[in-house]
Amino acid sequence: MRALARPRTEAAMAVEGRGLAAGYGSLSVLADCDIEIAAGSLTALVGPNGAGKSTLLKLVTGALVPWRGTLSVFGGAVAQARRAGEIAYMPQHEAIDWDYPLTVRDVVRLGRLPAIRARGGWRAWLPMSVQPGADTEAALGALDAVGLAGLAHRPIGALSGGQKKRALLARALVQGARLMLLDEPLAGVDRDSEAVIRRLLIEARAAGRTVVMVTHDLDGTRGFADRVLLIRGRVVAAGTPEEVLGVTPPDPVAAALARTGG
Amino acid sequence: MAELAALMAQGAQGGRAVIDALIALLMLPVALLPGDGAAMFQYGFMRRALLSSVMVGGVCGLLSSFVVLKRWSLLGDTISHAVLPGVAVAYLLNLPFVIGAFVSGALASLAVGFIERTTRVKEDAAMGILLSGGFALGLVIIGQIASATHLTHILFGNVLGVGYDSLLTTLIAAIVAIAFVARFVKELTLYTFDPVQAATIGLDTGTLHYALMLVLTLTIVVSLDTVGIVLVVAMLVTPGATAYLLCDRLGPMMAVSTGVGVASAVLGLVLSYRLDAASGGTMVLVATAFFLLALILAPERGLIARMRRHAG
Repeated sequence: MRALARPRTEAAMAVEGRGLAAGYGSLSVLADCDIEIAAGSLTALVGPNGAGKSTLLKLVTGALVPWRGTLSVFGGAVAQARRAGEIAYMPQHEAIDWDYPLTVRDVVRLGRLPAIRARGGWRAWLPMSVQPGADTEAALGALDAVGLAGLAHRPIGALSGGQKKRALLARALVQGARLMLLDEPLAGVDRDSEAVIRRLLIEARAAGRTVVMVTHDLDGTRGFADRVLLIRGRVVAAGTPEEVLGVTPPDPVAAALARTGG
Repeated sequence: MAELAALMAQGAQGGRAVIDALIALLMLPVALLPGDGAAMFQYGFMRRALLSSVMVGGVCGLLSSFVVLKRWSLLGDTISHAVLPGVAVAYLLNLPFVIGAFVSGALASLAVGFIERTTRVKEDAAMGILLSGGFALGLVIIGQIASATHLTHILFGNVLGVGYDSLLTTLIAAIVAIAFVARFVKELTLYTFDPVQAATIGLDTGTLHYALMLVLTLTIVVSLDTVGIVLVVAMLVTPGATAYLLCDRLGPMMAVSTGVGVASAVLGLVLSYRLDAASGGTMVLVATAFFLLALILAPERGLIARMRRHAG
């Protein structure tokens, strides 16, 4: 049996990409992109729409295959890290069909899938409902951490926008992944949800996890993110939030949008 | 060779015994029917038709949850129509029609993906082309080699003529489909709900996608005897859509859609016998009636509940 979080030499870089090129069909989004994300950091990817922030995340998830370039996670092969359940992903709101017939608890429990598969044995072959109670307990614990314990049995579609994000964050937390990739976790959420999500991401980093999030709110990275990467087809600026805010115009997103005509 | 033939004959014998046992099992509830309800099942052909209806309605209903959630309605229709040239070629080569049908159905589903990935033509146009092109090819070939009755049976089903071989094939396909869903239901759930997270935890989403497509093709092929090419898609969409209106969780949704599939097929068979109507058509009409009932009466999403909410 294979342990989920097996001990390994601590790599300095959680994500390391060299010469990455990627896109959709004939549309090129990333070209000759080098990227480094330090292990244990909280990194924000910012940039205009269509700049390749989500595309970068999708390369790490494996949902998109790069046209060129190499990518490693914690110093090893990405595919291996994926199979070991070391990477968790939280999609944008629009990417999900919220009418899907699952309760909040069902959604969070899907985060236990890597652990169930790693455990192996005949039971791993059976449906989620007959897995050991510990998996459900863990899901309920994560729901408690994001403040949704009382809504566990609601249909996922009945939640507010912020609550849905918290449920997806609970799914990532219960997976116990070392690398969390979050696509716009703070977009369109209410104040309470934003506070909860920010606190939990800071706690996750404190627990040694690496957090990578896409955001449009550059000002919101101050005093929160360790590093900000400004993306425009590649990494055009990298540094602390103050450094990146300094090298970019006062309202960088709007300015960048004006430049790209987007 | 002689040994192999003997072995196959033995297998066929065993298969026949299994089918007979299943039919005997089905006759237990039938015997409890009030009045002359059981009378029609004194005929062997009706007993075989009943078993075929239960298996086809059940497996189609089970898979229809995923067809609805994955938005594969048109894909199901494409596969079922594209099966026709395979049936024709199998007939020409004197092969079991299941093999020809499976191969051409699977080729069509792969071709849809290929056209979508490699050209600018979108999925729905690719499916429209393969659906009509494949069906037309089948019609032309069959027009040259077989009788009109034969064609009618393929297009609209012939549940009253279902034989032991066909029942055995359907049983095997049903076991494959149920085993596949039971083994991969959690993976399929994540893949259909959030495909990117599914890839992120290292699930082979491509294989999962095509495996589901092949299981769907297999189900369509073995359903042809019962409901026919033209109407099989209804059995793959309507039960799932009905359950979708009634359920908030996937497990219950799959149970309800399986139940609606079985009930539609069995009630349709009985009604078609009583009314002397086309069996495939009657089954689909019963399924459609279930959907309409759910549409109107569903506790939360039904029309009446919605009107009440707006009024209150």
